[in-house]
Amino acid sequence: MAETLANTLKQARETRGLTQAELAALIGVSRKTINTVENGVFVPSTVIALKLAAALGEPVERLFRLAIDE
Amino acid sequence: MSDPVNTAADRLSRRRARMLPMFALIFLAQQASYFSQTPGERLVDHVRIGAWVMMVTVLLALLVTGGFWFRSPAVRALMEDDVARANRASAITLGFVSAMLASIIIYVFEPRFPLTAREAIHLIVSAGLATALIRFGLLERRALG
Repeated sequence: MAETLANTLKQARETRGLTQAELAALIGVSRKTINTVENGVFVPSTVIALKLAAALGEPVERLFRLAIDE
Repeated sequence: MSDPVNTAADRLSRRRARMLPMFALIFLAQQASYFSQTPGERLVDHVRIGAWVMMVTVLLALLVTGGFWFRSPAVRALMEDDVARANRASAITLGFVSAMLASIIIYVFEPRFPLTAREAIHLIVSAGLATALIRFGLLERRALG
């Protein structure tokens, strides 16, 4: 039973009409960071997760949740 | 709204991701010339050895620091984000394993294929450095999408 971090970052970003580059610029990270977080390749630090939540105006637990793979 | 610093960091990260595996392949190709003509004590041999040391040092610095040393600190900070650091850690780990495996193989087969200390070091450094450079480049390419 493995735990992975699922996220709704892409939907939240697209709902606000932002590109990856624009969201990256808003929170001061690279577009690569946004891309890897969206694709589940990279688990963001708490700081980045909180910045994303603030920039998108959503609680962090709505953007990220634990998905349990069986 | 995407700022020029972010755009520059993205462009340079892509360039780096393409360059590093290419540098690794060029570096490996150069090893063939070393082993086809083992250096002696002539002046030209010292130049070749010095050139190899210089190349290894530059490639190691590129791998460890990320390169683009003359770019602005803001661009370099974006290029050296958490993802790049995680990719580098993974690449250096694989490079270390590769160097250890090369060492073990050289140790086991030394009686059958005797090597000088310089040749053995050449092989170990080449295996470790090239593996790490290729891995870092590939991970960065995947991350950039």
